[in-house]
Amino acid sequence: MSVLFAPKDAGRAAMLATLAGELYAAPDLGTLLERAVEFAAPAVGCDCAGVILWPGHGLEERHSAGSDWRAVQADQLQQWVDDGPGTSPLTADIVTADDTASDAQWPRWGPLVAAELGLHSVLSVALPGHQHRLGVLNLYATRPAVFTIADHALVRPLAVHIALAVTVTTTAGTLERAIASRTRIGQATGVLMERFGLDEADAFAMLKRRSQDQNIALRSVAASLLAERQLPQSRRPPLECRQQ
Amino acid sequence: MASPRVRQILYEVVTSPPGDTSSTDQVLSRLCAASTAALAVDGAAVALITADGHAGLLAASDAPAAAMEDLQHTVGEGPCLDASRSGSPVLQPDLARTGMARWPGFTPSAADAGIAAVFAFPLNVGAIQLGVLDLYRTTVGPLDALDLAEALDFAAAATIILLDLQQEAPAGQLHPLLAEATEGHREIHQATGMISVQAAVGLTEALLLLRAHAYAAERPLIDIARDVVRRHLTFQPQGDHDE
Repeated sequence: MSVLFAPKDAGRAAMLATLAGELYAAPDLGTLLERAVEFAAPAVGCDCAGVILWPGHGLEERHSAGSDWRAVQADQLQQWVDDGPGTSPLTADIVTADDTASDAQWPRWGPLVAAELGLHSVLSVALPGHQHRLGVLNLYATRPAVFTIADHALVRPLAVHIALAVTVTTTAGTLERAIASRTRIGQATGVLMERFGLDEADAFAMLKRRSQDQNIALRSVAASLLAERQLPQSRRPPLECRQQ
Repeated sequence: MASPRVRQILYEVVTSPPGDTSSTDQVLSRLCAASTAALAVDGAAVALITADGHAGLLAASDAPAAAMEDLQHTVGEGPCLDASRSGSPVLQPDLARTGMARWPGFTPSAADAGIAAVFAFPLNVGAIQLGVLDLYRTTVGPLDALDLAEALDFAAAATIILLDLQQEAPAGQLHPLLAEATEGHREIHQATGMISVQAAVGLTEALLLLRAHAYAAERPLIDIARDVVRRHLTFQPQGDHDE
């Protein structure tokens, strides 16, 4: 920390510790991201902040949050025009635009953000992961050329803190879901064993084949069986199931 | 996230005994042993627990600690399940006196196993329930303030170990070591599914029927589940199920 922070920035170290505490106490990933962007904008001294997590790394879908409507809109615009700092890999850990209206990095998204939302300065910092970047934290300001090299000293550790908390929460979520999946698969196997007089191996094979045939995850096949109490499109087991 | 003391605990359980590079399946056993040594308790266990309930024993320092977990799974109630659900420690310095009203199924059997005091610490991340660190003592009496703080640090270390293990797992899958712990419950899940068809009830009620049978027969849940899976025991549909 002493390397990152000059004495006058000691307050920032305390702020980051506060952020870490709030993030780890977040009940879920959505709340974690909300807290991260609500913290980031005033901490850096900009007008609003948005965060985007890409699918993968234990996340099944894209997640995002914005500290106000402009940040939320800026994020949605990225998806609509498929352009912007969250749509393609950043060329560096931190990239900035002094004026989105004329910046060459995001030719479609930049002018829209400038004209529609009045956001001219952007600083985007990658959220570092174990092997891949998890996503990106975007900081916005209405005035042009707001972000300087001095901001890097804060946004780098900020991004690391957010990324660590995201990793912990997504890993915990994966663990929880994986345990629940095994429970559902076991229960669904039992339902098939009883309904069709199968042994465990054949009942499991039946679930597995359904999963492969329909290209649905095994846990989803199990969950829908338990919910509907019947295999989709299959009232009786195929004969080979009974004979094996 | 990790305080200096938590890091110290992690260092101790990951590296000890000296010279022996630890295999990961020993880490939680050593955490149980280390917490038993550091605190005024007689034994410790770490179990996987989710919103669905007990999901498997990961490590236990001795037989009563393991029995304490099995018992809570069999009866479906107890301090560790409450701690996990609430996200707060459940401290029972005199289980026989205060536990009976809260856990009528768990308390007498725990006393029979020689457990006089129980201290259960949730391993939660936000609202996500991952497990519990359960400490027991054969004599009554509270944990003092220092021990309480220390126990919380052991729980934090156990949470980090679980997450660290899971991070090494292939995407979306349970780490093999954690999967192994849940394997012991596989037949219980299957029996639950079978009973739900046999008795024409939902899964929650099917598990209750299984539990009621185990409780009445004074046998472990897993034994009854195996009887069901092997078709030695069949449940019938009925309006009420008072055995």
